[in-house]
Amino acid sequence: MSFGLNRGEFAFVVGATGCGKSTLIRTLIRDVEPASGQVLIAGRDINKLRKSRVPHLRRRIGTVFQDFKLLPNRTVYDNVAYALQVIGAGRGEIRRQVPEILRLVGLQGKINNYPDQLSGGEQQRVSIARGFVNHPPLLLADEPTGNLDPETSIGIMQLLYRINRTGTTVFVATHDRDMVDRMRRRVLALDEGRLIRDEASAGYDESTREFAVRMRAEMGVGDEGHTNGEPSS
Amino acid sequence: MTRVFFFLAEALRALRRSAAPSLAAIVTVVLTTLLIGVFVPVIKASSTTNQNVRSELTLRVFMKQNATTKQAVAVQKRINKIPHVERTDFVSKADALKELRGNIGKGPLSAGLTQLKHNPLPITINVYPDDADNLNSIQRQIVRPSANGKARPISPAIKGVGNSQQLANQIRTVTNAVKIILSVIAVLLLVASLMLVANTIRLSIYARRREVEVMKLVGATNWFIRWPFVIEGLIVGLLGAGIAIGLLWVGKVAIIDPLAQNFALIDNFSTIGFAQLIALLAGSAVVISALGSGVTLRRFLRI
Repeated sequence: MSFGLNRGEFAFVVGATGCGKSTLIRTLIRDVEPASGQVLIAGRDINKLRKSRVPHLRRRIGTVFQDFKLLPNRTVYDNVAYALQVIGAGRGEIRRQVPEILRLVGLQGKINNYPDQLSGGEQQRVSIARGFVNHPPLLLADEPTGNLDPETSIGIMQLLYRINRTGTTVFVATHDRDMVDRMRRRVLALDEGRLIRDEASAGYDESTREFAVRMRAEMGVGDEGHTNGEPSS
Repeated sequence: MTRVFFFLAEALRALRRSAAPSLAAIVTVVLTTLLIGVFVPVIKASSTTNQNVRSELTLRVFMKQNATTKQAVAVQKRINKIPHVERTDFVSKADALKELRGNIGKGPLSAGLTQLKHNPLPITINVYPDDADNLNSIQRQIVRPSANGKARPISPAIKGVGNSQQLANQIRTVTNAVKIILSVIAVLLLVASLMLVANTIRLSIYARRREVEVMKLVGATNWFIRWPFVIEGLIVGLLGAGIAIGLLWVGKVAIIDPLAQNFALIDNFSTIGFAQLIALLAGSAVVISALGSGVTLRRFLRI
């Protein structure tokens, strides 16, 4: 399998369960190492990095997981702040950035809640906020909508789209073909570990708002439906 | 500096959040420290008693009934020149009688003692060796065994020599046995409690292994994850040792100190100093807890 992603691209990888989507995502953060082949990020082979540099690689890549992977005994604020504490950010920077990113994902009202007090969609927003808080050039998402209902999924996709529009490369693994077809973005299809399709759809340069409206219309969800707290922009 | 505060805050948060496992770890440390705190002085005491008893072992050189004080003094001078003799005590007839009276007290025997026409006790010279092991060699110097099997004392005025070497050997055998048994028990106890502490810490970390995994995926370095755990272990060790030392101190003041005033035996237990013991216990409890946390974490950091 061989493919490349350009800076600022929004791409999907689809395929049935067990086809290797998650493994692909995990090789990108060197959670698993490939038996053969190269993974180049920003022109460097990440498998040649020293073990001690792996954390630094991961800090430059935001990652969102299907099961959110939030720290259960920390509040929303502390979960997001942890990503900044890890990179050694100062207290002032944390105090400035965390509320800002939480406003972006629409959780400004739930700053002091614990993850188990949140809905699935909200937890995924926290996870995205954590992944994006230090503005990494690449955001990976492994089945970000796998546990969510269609309406909430659109909200999450809208959020990822907005992040993509800030110039961040977004790479999403999902089995939700309907969603992917309607996003009209580049799609990589996997089957049993092999790349069987790589189609670049002509995505329009639409605003986040237009994007959401179109998605809702195409997925048959009312525009004025339940908005799950995200602010309209 | 910010880092230090962050790690400290993280450790305290973890302690607060998982109160039950933390409490279990602290109680384990308390019990372990308490046991060791009791055992170390006991072992120490058993060996000092041995030494105390052995230091009281003497040779008693009895003079003949008709020996004069002059002869006895001459003998004492000669004994003083024998190597390994630390000092000698001269016990005159009168002194010996006084000592006997003192030992008997005011019983019926005391009446009988006064009826004696003259003092039947011989002059005695007590010989103190520098070490109990030298008793026999000193005795051989005072009473030389000769070729024909007949003993030849250094002075004809000597009637005989009383030796407590056998007693010394018996005491040594018994105290050595006691010491070995206590040491074995103490070592077993130490191993058991080490494993208990390690296991308690391991359980509390195991409960948080998912958390560690998430931290790694977010890009935390191993030491960034480890420090709070080590500090947590440090705090657990410190608290546990503190409580145990408090209990030991109460025990010392309430039980040992009053006894020591009444019984010379306990007072003689010039055991390990209390301050020394405290330092030892606190140090080992803290180091073991912190190391236990840090080392146990290694397994979960390999992601």
